[in-house]
Amino acid sequence: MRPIPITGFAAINALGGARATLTAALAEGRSGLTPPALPIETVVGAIDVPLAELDEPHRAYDTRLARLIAHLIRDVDTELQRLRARWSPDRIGVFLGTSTAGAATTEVAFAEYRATGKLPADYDFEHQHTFGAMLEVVRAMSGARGPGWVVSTACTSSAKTVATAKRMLEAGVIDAALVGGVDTLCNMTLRGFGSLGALSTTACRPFNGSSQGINIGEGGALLLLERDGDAVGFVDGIGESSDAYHISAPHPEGLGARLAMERALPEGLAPKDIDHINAHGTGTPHNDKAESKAIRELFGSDVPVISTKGYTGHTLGGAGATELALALIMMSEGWIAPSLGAASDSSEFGINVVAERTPAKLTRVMSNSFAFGGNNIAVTLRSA
Amino acid sequence: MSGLSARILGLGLWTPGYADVEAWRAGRFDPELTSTKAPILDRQCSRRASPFAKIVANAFEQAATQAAVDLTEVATVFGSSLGESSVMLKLLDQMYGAPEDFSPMLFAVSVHNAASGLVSISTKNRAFTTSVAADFDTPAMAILEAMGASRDLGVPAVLVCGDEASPVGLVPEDKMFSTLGAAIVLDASDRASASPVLAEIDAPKIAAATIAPAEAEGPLARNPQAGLLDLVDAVVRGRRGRLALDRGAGNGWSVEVRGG
Repeated sequence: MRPIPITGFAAINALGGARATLTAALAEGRSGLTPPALPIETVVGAIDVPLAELDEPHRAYDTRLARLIAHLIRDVDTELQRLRARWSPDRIGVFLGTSTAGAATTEVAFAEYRATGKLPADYDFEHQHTFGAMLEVVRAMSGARGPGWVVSTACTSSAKTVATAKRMLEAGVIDAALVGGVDTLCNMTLRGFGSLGALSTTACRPFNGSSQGINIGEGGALLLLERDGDAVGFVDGIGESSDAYHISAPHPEGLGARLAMERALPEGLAPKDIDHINAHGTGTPHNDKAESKAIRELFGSDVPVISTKGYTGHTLGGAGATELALALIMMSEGWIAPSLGAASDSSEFGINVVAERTPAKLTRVMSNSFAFGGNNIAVTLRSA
Repeated sequence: MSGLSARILGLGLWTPGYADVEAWRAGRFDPELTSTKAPILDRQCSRRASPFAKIVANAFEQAATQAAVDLTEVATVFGSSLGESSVMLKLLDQMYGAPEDFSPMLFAVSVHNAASGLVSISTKNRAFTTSVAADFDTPAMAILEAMGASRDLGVPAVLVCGDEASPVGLVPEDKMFSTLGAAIVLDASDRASASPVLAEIDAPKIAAATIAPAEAEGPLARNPQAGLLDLVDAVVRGRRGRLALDRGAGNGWSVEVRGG
């Protein structure tokens, strides 16, 4: 594939909502995980940044999910203005990922319905629950009028929007795209991962033999992709695959993960050309074992690996884009942030988990995302 | 918009009363037909699948069988406006209704891509699959996604769009819709198609339609995926021209149906 310029990005998560804050937290190895407001024994990556209400004419769409995406749109406003001046609005695509969409809002409405027999007066299923609602907010706020859809493949959702944009750019359907996605904390996902026995009561410890499991977070990121332009980085390779194994457990040999990583290697390059892997690294023993096996077999045991889940929690549908944004920050800063929760000795997994901030010239970084349904994607970034 | 085009190689359809495309074409309504099985799903996946996932898998299988695609390597795109809404409501009931254990199995298939995952597991397909939503534009946008994947990967793509009946109480009465699953197999690759070409389409664009939609009214026509039913209907009846991919509630995407 021809490298695709990334001409802007923004992210918001438990670490904060500004690039400087995110950079500082990564540099300091500071986690954003805290106990949740809900009566569930775990820690979560909750966003502590004030989120502005949506004004008219978007008030009907006003949910926490919509406020998060609106925050990101405002954060890339300068880049968006340039994008709109450069490309026809109907040639700018909008591809967004989310797993839960408006489920958090519907939960609150449903609880009230159960208690009182009535839905809240301000609850609007069409504008607040559906997957398409987020799309409408982004279209309206960004001025993009090209094709647009939501990718909802659980925890690979926002990473897969990059692949969608690549296909639409290569097919000549669009000239530019807004990609990424968000998810919010909700009771259902916390209860759900709890019911699967996957929720950690303490901060997650990806690729650590003592890890208990996952922490859920909220947040996401937006990236601007253009046919050409002044880039902060490039999408250099994309690999998508399916495990074809189990609806909620990874292939034990990491087969689908390996296929995705192989397919994400840029043409003509070998695994040794990847300088660093930002792993999916959820902290559940099954996931970490399968992913580390796939990494070890394809890349060997030297490539530096981290998971950023210990900073933000697993932001589900927003995770892929979040981790691409964090990888771009590290590429630009010239270091690899410590993988929070890593053991001093990661030999149990046979991969090189980075436990301390490490200076590095990062030319190519691969970022992994894996999901329920056995859905996998790896994205290779190249420095500008 | 672009030079993107595709050949249609297979069709599938399931909606209450109509078990398949032929029953629909012949107007053979069966009032007893209210649910379906999905033989394409293996036993474990069938046990996990919701009634909605089975409908989607059934339409998928019809189209894939007609197109004689290799199920282990075909690209697959699943479109739905609401996804697994009944599963979500059951989980909400478990959380806020009568005290009940939260079902991990139900949670695992509550994701929008449950059908995509169950089909890929059952067909041993390790290739590309995705699950998309765009309200009433879902059929048009899913066609674009499927065309892009087929062109990129050099294989046909099975595209299935479905939504189960709207959740009672959450959707206004005049917007309530009934269940529908519709599927097409399209091939936008450079490879010659092994199976007969039923029709050809260009990439969807926003333009006025020149041919009428299928003869469906009321709750079925209000299903967000009715646009794919209209495409299946146009292809099977040999109607050619520009066809709207929504019934007025979307952004006006349409597709040129020709040849075959």
